[in-house]
Amino acid sequence: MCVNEKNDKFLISFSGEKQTESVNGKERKILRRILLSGIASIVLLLIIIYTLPKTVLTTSSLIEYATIVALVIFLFILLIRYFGILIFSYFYMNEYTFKPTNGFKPFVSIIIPVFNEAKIIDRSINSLLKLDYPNYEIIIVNDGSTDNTKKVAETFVGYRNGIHNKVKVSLINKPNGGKSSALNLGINISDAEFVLCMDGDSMLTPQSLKMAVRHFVNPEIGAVAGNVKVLNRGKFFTDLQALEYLEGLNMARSAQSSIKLVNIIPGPIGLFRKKAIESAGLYSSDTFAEDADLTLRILSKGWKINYEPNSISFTEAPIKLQQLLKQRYRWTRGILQSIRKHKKLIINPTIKFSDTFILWSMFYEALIWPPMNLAAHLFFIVAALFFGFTTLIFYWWAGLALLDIVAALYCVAAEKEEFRLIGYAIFYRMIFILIIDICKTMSTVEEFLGIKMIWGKLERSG
Amino acid sequence: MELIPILSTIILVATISTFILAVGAYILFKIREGKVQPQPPTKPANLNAEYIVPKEPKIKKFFLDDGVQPNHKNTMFKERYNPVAVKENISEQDQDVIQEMQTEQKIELPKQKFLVVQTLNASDKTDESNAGEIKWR
Repeated sequence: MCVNEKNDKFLISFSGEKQTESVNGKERKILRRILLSGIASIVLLLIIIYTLPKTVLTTSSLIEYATIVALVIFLFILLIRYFGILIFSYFYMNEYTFKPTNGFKPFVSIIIPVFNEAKIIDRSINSLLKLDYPNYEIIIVNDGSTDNTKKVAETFVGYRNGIHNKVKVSLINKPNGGKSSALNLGINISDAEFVLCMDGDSMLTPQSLKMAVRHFVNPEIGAVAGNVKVLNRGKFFTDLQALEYLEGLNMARSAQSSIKLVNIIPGPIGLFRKKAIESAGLYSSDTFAEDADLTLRILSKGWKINYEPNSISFTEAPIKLQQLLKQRYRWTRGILQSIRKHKKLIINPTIKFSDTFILWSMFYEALIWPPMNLAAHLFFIVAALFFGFTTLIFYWWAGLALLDIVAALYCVAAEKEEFRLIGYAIFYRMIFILIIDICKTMSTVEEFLGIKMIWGKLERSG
Repeated sequence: MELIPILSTIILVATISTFILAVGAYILFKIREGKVQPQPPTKPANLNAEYIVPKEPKIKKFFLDDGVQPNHKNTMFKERYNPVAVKENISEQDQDVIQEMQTEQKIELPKQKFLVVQTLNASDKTDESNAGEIKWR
């Protein structure tokens, strides 16, 4: 049906995704979990009380030894993790940062799902029109926005001027169904062999697409994760997040990429081979971290995933503590839901050892590390307040802060980032990590108890 | 006074304050979230969406051997089909437009494959560029 001189309008029908969550018997399930954990804890305590007099240990010495052993293990894991990531990341960065681009330039569809992004959608699309790539189209998927996103998006439909040639921009207006359903519809509409999925608030740099596409020369590569950077810098809180993205997320991704097993393709930029994403069953809406879930499914189908440090996407970071907590709460629970979905692979390494390895590393980062870090902090607080060992906390903190400064230095140098971010490493260790780990631990407990949660939307400053 | 005990005290106070702040903020976040807990929308089995797509440029590609007309994803098409015969009926004006497009797109054609295009309506070629506003009928 033709509605406009320059554009065609079609009515398309697609299947709505089913609500997978069953409410029946959920409360009973939660109660059963609490009861089982309580019983298990009491049994453990009874065993300790019963067996302790039969050993040479007293209660106080047991606590002392247990704490020392726990701290040594904690420190050991921390050092292994840091240096392992640094070394693997170094090798990977060396391989790819200086490698010239190849001539591989297939047709790519860029899917941009938007929901109430009227303030910033023009910024995102304009960044896409400046991509240094000759062969791509843009598909905007308006996921039932209630503001004037639709109107703003419609002004972009057509053949727009790109750097190399005209870029086709089309728009899909659909009822609200969530980010995953919007991305899936866009992917289904696209005929391209490669699709780039991004967020409505993200901005790509001109080299982003060209740099990511080059990895697909290797037919084993099913997807490429991009490099996400914080756009709204200049505030203490967002600068801390800028450092976290560098040190905590991107460095880990480049280390994982040395074995081609990136475990999360970030929402703001991910380039997929359509065959790979289809074989994995597209985005699913049954977890709150649809990107982590899809990545795990792609890996489980045998595809490899690389990270491209030069494929940069700028995104807005939360500017308020409440917004940050909301975001991290969703990430943590979403990752735990994804891990739970693939629990077979966690338990049985014979199915696919690489996937088991990746899932255990995610399990460690999401579930084991935050409570360990909190426990260590609590130990030092108790030791200082009740036993007078105040200097202990200084040495502990100074050691970790030094480690963070070294990692920050490396990341800033490797990614040619702002040098001033290194200064934040001190506050990063003292404040930021602690806040995030408290949020992660609480979210883990809530996920374990099965408390309901909703998708939150970050308020955009524009 | 020595430096280390002072620094230790600062770190201790900062750690305790952060602990309290983070737990408090988390509780506040949960309270706020609890107030705005909407019911999940019931999703029907089938949904309709509106797909607005710009009209294809009026310069069409013809492949007379098998009657298959490629869509705009011409690179994919080129890999699948190998046309053997084409019709040449292009005006001078259109040839300039085609040449411009081909040079702009920088698409490298395989040596054994070739592509010739034909315009359907030369007067409509301005539709290729949609730089202005959308006009609804």
